[in-house]
Amino acid sequence: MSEKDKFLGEFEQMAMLALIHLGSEAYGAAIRQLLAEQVNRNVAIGALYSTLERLERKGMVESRLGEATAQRGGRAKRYFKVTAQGQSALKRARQAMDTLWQGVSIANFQSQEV
Amino acid sequence: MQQQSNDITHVTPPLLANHLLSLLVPKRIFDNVIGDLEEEFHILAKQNIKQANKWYWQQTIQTSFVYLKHKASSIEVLGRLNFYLPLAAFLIASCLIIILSTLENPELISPTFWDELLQGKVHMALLSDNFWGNFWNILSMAEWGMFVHLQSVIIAGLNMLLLIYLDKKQQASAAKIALWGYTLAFVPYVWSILHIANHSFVAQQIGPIIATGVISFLYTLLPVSYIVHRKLKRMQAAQNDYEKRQLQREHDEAL
Repeated sequence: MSEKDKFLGEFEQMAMLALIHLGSEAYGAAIRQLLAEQVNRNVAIGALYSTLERLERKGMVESRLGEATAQRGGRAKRYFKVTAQGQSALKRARQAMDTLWQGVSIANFQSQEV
Repeated sequence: MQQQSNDITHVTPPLLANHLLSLLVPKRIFDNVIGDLEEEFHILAKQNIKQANKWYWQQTIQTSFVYLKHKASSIEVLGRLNFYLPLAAFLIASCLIIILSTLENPELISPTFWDELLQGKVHMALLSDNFWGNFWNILSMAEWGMFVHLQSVIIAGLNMLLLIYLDKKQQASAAKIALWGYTLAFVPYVWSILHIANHSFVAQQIGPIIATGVISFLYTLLPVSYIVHRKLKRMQAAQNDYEKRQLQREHDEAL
């Protein structure tokens, strides 16, 4: 894995956290709706799949085909799950952000800007 | 009320939108993407069919852009570009070297050729009707020994060493390697034009400076194309391997 592949982008982190929240019900439409409702991020389904496929190639996420329903025109769902490697990467990303946020408050930040 | 509810269950997403998606979305996930869109479409259609159609088209256009961008930077497209663009540049550079080897009769090339050459802009000859009209005559007068040039071999060799070093150190993508490689190929030619523009050389000195720039460019093109091609092949093999493993896993799960 190259150095660049070890880090997670903001949207990659959001998508992976959505998978953890949804658990066994994490498939395209559900993930998209959760991101729209919880963090007001109304993404295109293509952008979401593109991110999830990239994460799958990095080994952070894995997918499996699920059941087809009439409401979906008989098309199967693809369920996604965060792997152990993905969980470690998420923890690392959170630790990095926590470290950088330590001792920083928005008030300080504004006064520095002024 | 019953009639309206029946109408809604029979509503289908825009077929044209699905057709557009079928052209761009990869086969492996096409059914999953359409299924997800259709599921949300039916939920929205229960509230407002017009809004549902609008939403479906918005999703289709945004998704199409995502996969159009993927297609444009795909290995196949990059591979074709890496073949045809250096080939065209190689032919152009060869024409310029032929022009530089037939300087006894500059009017044959272009009425303004001598002035352009003194400014280092030998490439302007390619836009002249005279050059293309007299192309076969010029070709018969060419000195083919001009294609062998020791200084250019050294410059091209240094370019290659730098490119190989950057590739090993940075673990860069094929697109980045191509960008660095072709930029390096252009550097001697751009340098020769700037060098001529900033110094007052006599006419006899300008030809060799320009020739070094053009011949170095010619020598660098094919090795860069080969390095990029090798990189793309490796990426293709890794992608094929990944897709094969995914298909095998899905097949095993289905069983």
